[in-house]
Amino acid sequence: MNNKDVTEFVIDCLTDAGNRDKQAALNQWLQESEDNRTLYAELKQLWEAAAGVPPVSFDKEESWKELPLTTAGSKPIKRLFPWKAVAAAVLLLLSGAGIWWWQSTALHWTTYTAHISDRDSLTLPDGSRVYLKPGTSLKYKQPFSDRSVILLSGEAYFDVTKAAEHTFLVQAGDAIVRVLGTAFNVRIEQNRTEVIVFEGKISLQKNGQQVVLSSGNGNKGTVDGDKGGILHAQGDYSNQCVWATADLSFENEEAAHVAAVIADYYKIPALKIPENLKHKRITLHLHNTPAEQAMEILATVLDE
Amino acid sequence: MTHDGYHISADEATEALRSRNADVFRNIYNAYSEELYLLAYRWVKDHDLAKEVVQGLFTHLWEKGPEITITGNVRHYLYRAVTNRSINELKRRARHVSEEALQWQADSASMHDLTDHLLLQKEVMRLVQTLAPRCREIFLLSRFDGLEPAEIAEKLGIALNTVYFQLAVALKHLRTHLLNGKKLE
Repeated sequence: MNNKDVTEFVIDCLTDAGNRDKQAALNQWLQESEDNRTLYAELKQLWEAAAGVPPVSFDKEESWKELPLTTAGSKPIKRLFPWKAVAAAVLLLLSGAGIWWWQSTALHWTTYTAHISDRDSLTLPDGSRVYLKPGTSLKYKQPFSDRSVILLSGEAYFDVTKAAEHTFLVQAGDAIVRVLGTAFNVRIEQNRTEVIVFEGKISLQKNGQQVVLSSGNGNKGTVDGDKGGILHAQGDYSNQCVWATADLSFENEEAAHVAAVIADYYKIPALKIPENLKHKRITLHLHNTPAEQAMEILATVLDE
Repeated sequence: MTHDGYHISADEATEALRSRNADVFRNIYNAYSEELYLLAYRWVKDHDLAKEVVQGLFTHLWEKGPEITITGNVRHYLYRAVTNRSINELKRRARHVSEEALQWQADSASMHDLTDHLLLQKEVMRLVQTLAPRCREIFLLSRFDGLEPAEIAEKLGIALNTVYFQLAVALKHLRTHLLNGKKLE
């Protein structure tokens, strides 16, 4: 490491961890003595501790004064409903400044992009949950009074809070999904949008055309950007929501198919089903079941 | 009897909350608020929100004092409370909650490690303020903003060697004062 300052040398190695030459030099230096190893450990500890500190320090004295505490010994003040604040807000709304304020806050879109690495989730202002596959992107209007979401790309599963007076609306490519309170999955693939209803009922629309989808058989609708209509498929596609729901259901389905779906979900090698049982029709339901337990359940059902 | 906040036991703290003893409450605040701010910041990565979480916790302790029973170690109780509040705030604001926060284990070994880490951070924050302005600026660009040395050199229009030199000055300063390190050559 030449005549370079030891601390500078360590910093150089810490900030360039991917450089194999530097790491080799560091390892050699660490081998030389116990002192070197201790020094390195200390510097690294400080270097890393410093990385997690906030940019602004905490001022105890000032913060203490800001605490909204009632005086010792007295009863805590009961919080009354802030009528005064509400009245002031209403007045503000009625005035010109209020209208400006209302307009400037009314049309505000929030965009959210899911983490790249794993499944992400988001709670919308109305309490509805959205699960997003990695990299999926959506935006929603704030305030969220008209419950509108635009899916920009990827795949999302919506678990919509019931609110009879307000429909929940998802726009995805050319497709529009209207719901009252239900759970469904929307996926955009190039210019194709696929919707699967997991629970309840939705209305899928495209250019004035409409198809109503319910959970169970016939719960998938596809809207193609090029070809005209809405495709309404036969069959139950609920299991395609498993990434979000952790819920797999099979009703009277062939064992070979069931095993393939399970292996795919748990990311395990294909399961060997005895030849004579491959076409056996089975019914089973897994919810949040660990892989090993799922295997046991499948084996038991096959034996019945 | 004067107590510094660090030596207040769970029973004494509970009693102080019950009787709304402002002196003891203030001692607890003085002792732990900064650490709790650093811990909240670790979860929420937002210094305004971290402060809000800490202030919210102490306001809650004061207001609900008569109903609260603190058990075990006061510091650990507060760490758990501030972590729960941080996660709840993130959820309420529909922000991402890291796996680290969700998986956080509150066993006593990790509590002790965490305490060491937070106390070290607290000292780091204090000592960084005592660095020469240029040195502090470079150190913060590296540690807080996460810039590479080359990026700092470019941003400030200085030589790369100067960046390394200043970072080393800062780190030596911290080590000398914090870990009683011997002077480096």
